[in-house]
Amino acid sequence: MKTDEKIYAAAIAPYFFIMLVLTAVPVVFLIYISFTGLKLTNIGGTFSLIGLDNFIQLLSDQRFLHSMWVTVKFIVIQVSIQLVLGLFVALLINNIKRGATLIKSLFVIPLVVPPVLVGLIFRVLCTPQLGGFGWVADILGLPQIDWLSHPGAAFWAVIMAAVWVWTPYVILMYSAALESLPKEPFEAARIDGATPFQTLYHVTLPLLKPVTYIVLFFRILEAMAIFPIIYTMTSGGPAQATEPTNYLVFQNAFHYYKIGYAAAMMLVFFGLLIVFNLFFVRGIIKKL
Amino acid sequence: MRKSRTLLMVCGAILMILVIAPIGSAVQWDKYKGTELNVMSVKQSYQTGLVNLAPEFEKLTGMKVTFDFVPWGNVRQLASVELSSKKTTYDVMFLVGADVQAYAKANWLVSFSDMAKQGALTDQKMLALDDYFPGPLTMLSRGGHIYGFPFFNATQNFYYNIEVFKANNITKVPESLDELIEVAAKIHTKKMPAISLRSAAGNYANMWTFLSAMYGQGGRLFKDYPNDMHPTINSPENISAAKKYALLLQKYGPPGYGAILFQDNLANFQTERVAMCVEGTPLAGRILDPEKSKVVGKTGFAVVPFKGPGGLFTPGACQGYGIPAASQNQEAAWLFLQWALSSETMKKIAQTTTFNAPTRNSVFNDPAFIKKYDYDWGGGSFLEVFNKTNALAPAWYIPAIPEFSEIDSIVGNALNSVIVKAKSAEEAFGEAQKQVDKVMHSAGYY
Repeated sequence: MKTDEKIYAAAIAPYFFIMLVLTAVPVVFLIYISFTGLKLTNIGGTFSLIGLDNFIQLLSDQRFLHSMWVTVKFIVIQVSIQLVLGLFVALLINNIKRGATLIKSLFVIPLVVPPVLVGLIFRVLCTPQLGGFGWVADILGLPQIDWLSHPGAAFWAVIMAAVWVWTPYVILMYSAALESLPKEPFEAARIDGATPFQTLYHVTLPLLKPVTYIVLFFRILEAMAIFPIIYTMTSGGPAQATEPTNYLVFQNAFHYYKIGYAAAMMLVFFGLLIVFNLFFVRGIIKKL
Repeated sequence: MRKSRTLLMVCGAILMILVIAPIGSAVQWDKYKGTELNVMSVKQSYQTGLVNLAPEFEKLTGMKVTFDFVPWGNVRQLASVELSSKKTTYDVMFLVGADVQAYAKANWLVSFSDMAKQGALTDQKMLALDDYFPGPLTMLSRGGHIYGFPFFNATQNFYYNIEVFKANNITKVPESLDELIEVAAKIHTKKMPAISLRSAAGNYANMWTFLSAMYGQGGRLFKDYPNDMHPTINSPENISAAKKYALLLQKYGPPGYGAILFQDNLANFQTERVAMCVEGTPLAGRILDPEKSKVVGKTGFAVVPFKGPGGLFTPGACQGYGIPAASQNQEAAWLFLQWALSSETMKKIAQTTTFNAPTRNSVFNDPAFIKKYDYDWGGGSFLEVFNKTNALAPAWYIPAIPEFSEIDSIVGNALNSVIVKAKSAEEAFGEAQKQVDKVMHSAGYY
């Protein structure tokens, strides 16, 4: 190791050590707990190892498997909508000459609303007796949708909330990227007689690839943590249609007191996150 | 059998406390002068009263009381985390009756039987254990030890709009589930749906009401509680009860019928968006709050209409306060609880707030309490119904086992699936049977 490298290594060593303590220690503890039958009501009595029992039980736990499926659906659907909608709005804003800054600053508002509050707002909007969407449907002469009483509708209601709160992030990222794109390829496309759609497909989108990967990466990570919206909006219902894995983990840990089992669930969930990170980040680095 | 055995144990605990605690000894109220007590609680009418009266206690003892109010949805989670930690910041903890078994089993709470040994810190007159209703006190006890004092006597009754009944020539208040369905069919309109019932799952939401209907149909959660704990979730009686309960909501419920919580029930009935509802008896004070309610003067009261082939069972539960075993100020907290749940304090709170669910006989029979809360607008006396309801609530309404929280969630979700038509009753309750069986088996009941 060269002298410079040694200095750099020494400089980052304290930070590395702190991060190790803050992240690795809890994870190691989580892994250990997941192999025990620990219950919150019996701390000290059940730290003994039970092997793979928790994980074997998970494989046949229909509620857990269902929650994983719900999590995947939440991620795929909301991130897809956010990406398409975000890009569309960013392209529109990019063509606005006056007031674009004001519009962009308005998009920051949903991002600063705490997700817990977002869940509450949408619960009120979706409750027929309290107005909101029902009131709008009445005015437009449309049939009322009982958003929170039907599994399918409740799922989409949560998606709506997630789209409302996180699409502005995508818009702002794409807006910034669009502003920094080089002008020459667009000039060349114009001279070649490309239509706006051809320009978008053959020039804009390829140039936006790097930012798309970054947005996708962060949005997928964030989408996995939809817990606060679920907690205040649907509590996982109706009929567990909106119960993602992290909500089920919370239920097992703090309502059923099954810490060992909840840790095993979390570990599987965490494992998937790591797998996703490894493949996705590696993929991004290769593409960039 | 189980009820009498538990009651006997609680009576024994009360007797032990009475014998142990020296009568007549002067209580050292100012022993912990300067101590700061932290109280964790939800904020309901009783707590509003306590906050207003706290200066009286602070003057008496020289202590400072700080209240930390937590939303209902978070309170059980926070209690579990705080109680399980060895350094809790709270000295007095809000308790949901059904959770006390798990907490006591884990030795998270101070036994009041032990606290009462502190003669110089126990005012027998203020404590007056024999003044408490036995049911709520039993729920906060385990193995002959009392772990909490109840302040809130939770049960449910039937509320109906007298004017709607009159307009539809309904002369007999429904008593059974079948009669309720008949009446609902007669009075239901799109403008004013017939009935609102709790339907959302978990956190004692729909199960708090549904168990009453289920027991009435002859159903049970277990084969022979507490002797044989094999679950009977998918019994024909339970399935029949689920179908009828779901039918009421699907055909005669309000919009949003699949996600009703107590606050939705309250708002639906209070603002005349439904003609009938089954909800907490203690909520009458809020339902009939003159500033918010449209149904003052036209509300009738009755025992829950869930009589069936199995009989009639009303919900019975309570909320109370305990002292965390990890509290650094246990004796100071003991002094606070004696004052906070004394008959005098409870009477004052009943008069100054909408609190109408006392846990003490002396408060329930207090003329001032009767004068304030005996609503009767020609549709039954509220306090008479409250009395009947109390008498009909079995001690086993919510089984006193640590696993109940999970069972509540499993069966509650199954019921919710039936209500929102996601599954048939047979399918949902069949799956719930398997899940509860797994829970009971792994908990070592068989």
